[in-house]
Amino acid sequence: MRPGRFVVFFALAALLQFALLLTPWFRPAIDGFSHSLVWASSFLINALGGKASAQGALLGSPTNGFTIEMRDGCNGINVMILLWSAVLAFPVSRAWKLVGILVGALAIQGLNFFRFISLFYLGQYSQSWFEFAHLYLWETLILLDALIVFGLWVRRASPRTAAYGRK
Amino acid sequence: MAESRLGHLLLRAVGLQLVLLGLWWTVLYQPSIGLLRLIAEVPFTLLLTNPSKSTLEVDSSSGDWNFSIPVNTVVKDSPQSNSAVQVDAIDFAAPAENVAPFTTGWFVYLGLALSVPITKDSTRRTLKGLLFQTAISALAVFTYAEVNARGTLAHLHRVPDPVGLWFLNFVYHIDYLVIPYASPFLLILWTHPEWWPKLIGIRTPGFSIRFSG
Repeated sequence: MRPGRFVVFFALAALLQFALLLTPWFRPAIDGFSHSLVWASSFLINALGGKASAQGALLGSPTNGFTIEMRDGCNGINVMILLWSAVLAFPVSRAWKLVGILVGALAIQGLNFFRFISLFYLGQYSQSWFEFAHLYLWETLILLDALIVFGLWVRRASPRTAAYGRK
Repeated sequence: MAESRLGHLLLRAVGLQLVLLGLWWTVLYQPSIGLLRLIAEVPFTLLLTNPSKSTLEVDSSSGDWNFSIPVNTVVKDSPQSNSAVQVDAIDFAAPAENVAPFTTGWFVYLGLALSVPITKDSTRRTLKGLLFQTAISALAVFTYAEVNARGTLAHLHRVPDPVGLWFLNFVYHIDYLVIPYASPFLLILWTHPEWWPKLIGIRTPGFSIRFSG
């Protein structure tokens, strides 16, 4: 496969998924997903001895009233779409693409989950560093995570790529 | 062996991101916004003409970016008026922190470029990549202003067109939530092909990388 074709497929897949993401039909599913992440964060924090309460997209601290909201861009879906687009554009079997999509989603959401909880605590310590970590540092680290997951997935896909190429 | 090279690359990349983004946040935040203001002037000057006032000005006291985007249109179904309303331009202000995401691309790109061994050739390609990143940032600011103005204009109608609003939301999402963060990663894979073998392994049958810097 030529890189030019990969880039075109990647761009088309990404634009299509972002277009679908922003349709009103997907809105309830996205909101439900964000709310479930907030609920799971609250559950984990409380299970480990911390204090947090979840209400919709809001995660709050009953101790000092600090609250963060999970909005679009905070739920990891943008990075998941970029990773999925790269996986879909890469020439391997459909089964291996499915593996990439599932494992990629888990890797991104796992790190994003850690990110959200770390921001909950960082925000109670320093508003300035919360802004920095929230808007810039974690975004970059999660994109790096996606790049690494894609690299590892391609490395393991290479024998399958060869088999796929012979078909 | 190949995966340990990936590990080294990852560690260097993460470390450099921490250093460069930290430097940006603590020291270079205001200078980089000033630089963005200068480069954003190029698309605003080339692509927009507003005869009555400047399309982009920065308030020296508050630091707000004041946009005046010409739209030159007639709103026939304004809820505020029974007759058609002529709209020449949409004026709005954005705080500096709203445009700050468009400046991080330089630092993220540089961190990624310095993650691989530095040679004379890679330095040349890094400079080229920084130029592209600059162009992307300038165009992204321009798109941000246009989309905000078009969104305001859409809401001047009694019933905004839902498809038009969806499209503006789509462009805004890509321009503001995707491009500033993803563009350095896409650029580095183009300007620094040495990232590819470290990332996906040396031999990947069926996928030959032929990007040139």
